[in-house]
Amino acid sequence: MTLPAQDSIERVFSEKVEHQLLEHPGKWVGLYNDEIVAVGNSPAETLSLARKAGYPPVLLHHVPEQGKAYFF
Amino acid sequence: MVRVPGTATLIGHSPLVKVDVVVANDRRLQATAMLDSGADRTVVPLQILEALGVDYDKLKMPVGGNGEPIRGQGADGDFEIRTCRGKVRWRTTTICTEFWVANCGFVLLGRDDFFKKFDVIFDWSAPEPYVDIEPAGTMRALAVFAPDPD
Repeated sequence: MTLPAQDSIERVFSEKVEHQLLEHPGKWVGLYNDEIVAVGNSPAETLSLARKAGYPPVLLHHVPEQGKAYFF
Repeated sequence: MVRVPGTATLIGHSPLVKVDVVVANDRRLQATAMLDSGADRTVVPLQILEALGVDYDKLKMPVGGNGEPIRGQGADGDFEIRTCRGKVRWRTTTICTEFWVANCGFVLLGRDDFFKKFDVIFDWSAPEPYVDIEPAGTMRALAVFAPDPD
């Protein structure tokens, strides 16, 4: 039995943005309204770039480097 | 088993949610976090702490029962971790009031914090793989009241 979708359901990114993120391996990406608005080498750099471009606080996302395995 | 559609985004096989990281003086930012049942606790990348103005060198190393500093274990060997007072919040829930800091790309939501507060079910083999996240105990309650498949 499958319940109907609830209003609590969210997607962190749209499928369009998921594909765009892959173009920035190893980078810290800043997103606003499901759009990539800043790309930097650190959260501080990305936040600074987004702020200079006039955006309010953005969602930070680190794009894993291709070919690198992550174990924690 | 009653199945509620997922509440997290799967990128490849990375289950991600949005969280708020909050430190002293209500300095905060929003970042993606990975549900990581392999992590003991909540871990925040040191780069995020630096962006929030936290001085990593002033953070203390966690100490184990033997009095020795606890170190993280990863594929590349062990690594240093520090403890920071602050909150990681998912939606309206405070996941923890203290977290570990390490050199990692994602905020990691681990067993002692997130997985005690929420039931998480991964279904990688579904036509559209998904993750279900519900308050702890909800999954068991749903299973009890679900009709017998036979």
